[in-house]
Amino acid sequence: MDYRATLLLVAALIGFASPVSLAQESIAMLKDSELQESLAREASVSGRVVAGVLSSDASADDSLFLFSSPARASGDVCVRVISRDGLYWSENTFRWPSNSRSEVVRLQYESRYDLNSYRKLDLAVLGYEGDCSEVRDGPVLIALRGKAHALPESLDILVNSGRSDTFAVLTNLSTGPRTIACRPITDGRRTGYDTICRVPVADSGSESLVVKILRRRFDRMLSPTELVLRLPNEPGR
Amino acid sequence: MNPVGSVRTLLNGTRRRGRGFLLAIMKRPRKIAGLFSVTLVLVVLGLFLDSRDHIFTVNAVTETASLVTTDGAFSEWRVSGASLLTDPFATTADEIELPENAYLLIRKGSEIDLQRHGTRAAKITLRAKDGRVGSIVMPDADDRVLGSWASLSIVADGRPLVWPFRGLLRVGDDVTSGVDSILLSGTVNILEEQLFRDTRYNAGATELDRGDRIRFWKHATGRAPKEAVVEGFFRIEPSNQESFTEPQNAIQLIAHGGATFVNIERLGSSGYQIKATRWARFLYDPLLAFIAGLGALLFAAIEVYSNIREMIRDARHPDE
Repeated sequence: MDYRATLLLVAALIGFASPVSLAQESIAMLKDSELQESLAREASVSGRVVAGVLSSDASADDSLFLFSSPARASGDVCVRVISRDGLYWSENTFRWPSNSRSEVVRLQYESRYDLNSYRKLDLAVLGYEGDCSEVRDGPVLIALRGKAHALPESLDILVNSGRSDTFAVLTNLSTGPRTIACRPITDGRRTGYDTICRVPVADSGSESLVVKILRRRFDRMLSPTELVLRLPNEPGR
Repeated sequence: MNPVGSVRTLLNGTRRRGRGFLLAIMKRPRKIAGLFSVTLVLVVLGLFLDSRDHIFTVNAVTETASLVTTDGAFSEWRVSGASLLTDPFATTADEIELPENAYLLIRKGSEIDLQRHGTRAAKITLRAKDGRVGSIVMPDADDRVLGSWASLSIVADGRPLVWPFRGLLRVGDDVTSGVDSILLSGTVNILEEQLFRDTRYNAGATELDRGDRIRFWKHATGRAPKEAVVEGFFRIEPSNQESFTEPQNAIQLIAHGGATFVNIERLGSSGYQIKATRWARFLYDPLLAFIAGLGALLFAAIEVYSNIREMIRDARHPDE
């Protein structure tokens, strides 16, 4: 075959393939010019009770996604990432892709560091509606690490409990409130968070799941933390 | 045969042989020194490479400690006058006052958290993944079987509380926001087994810093390290102690057990391990120190002897 014909064929294939691959994936673009992140030699201490909300299908991967939700109300999403050892930290605002119908939106998260080295539950991702510089919290979108984009059956809420007994109470289920005992992390460093609450989403009847985090330290109840989780279209149902 | 004569002959023979051996040494000092050096190096190498058991002892004052019991019979704690809660969502109105001489019997596998700030009440939370955490035994009442969670608050009045344990121990807490109880001070001592004798010698001590979190680990060859079982006791000094000394703060803790290393987690560093290094044996092992000293002394003697011999030879043959 003539080499010009071969080149034309290759160019046509590339031109055809590129729009297809782009169309398959919605990307939330970074609002700022560069990713605000740090990997310190010394741990930074976060004062937040909820460090992250991730799909239980997460895996050790550097690609980060957020599940879309029909209840989502803001065009911006603030994403905070903290490692369990407290050494890695980032906070960035992303613009939600307009007119996206995708159930999963990839974040334009090109980290300078090797996030693959963090195991499945060693990196907490908290994505909530709003600009990081304007709002300090809001309704939470479920995050995902890795390539499995199936709608989750359950969520992992990563909590900095202050070494207390922690319970997650699902308050707006159609079947009535349900209390789940959370699992403390005992091994390794727990600067970022120390407890995992695995919350099923299969029997939630609405587009949002209201979770109240209750913490008990010996004979004292600590102040509860409430978070609203925006659920995907068909979360494991 | 005359017996006196036989003994004399024997002694003379021994003397001759001894003199012959000394003469042989004097004639070949370098060969003897070489042989001696090789033997000494082999003995020292053997002592250096020999793997030995270590007992780690932690002596600490801490505001918090956690424990997973591995022996139910060992964990019977006096909890006289304690306030008991049996439901994590209970309020102070649901508290149950325990009578004098009430004892907490802790089941094997229960997780226990302890906390005490200053000389205030000591607090215990017990939880079990499945089943019960234990029971409360009271002298004039029925036993109270506890569920999968319980919390007690105890004021040590008049006399101290001593709570023995056997299990997996974590002393202190890794500092982060929300953590209000930490290790205050302490030391880790290592006792190493001595060769040939059923005794141990102190193989080093390390001071702990405020805010450290420590755990004991055992490492078998070819396997991942796992937490080591240790024994010890917590001591809660009375808050109204009538003595010349001030009341002791927090929880006094002694724990010891066979382990490979003690791991320390510390805010602001990636943590480190305390273990008995083989090099430390030259400092602490009495046998190794004695052999090393003896070797040095003998080498010095050989050196002095060689020099004197050369000096004598030079004096006898000044022209050579």
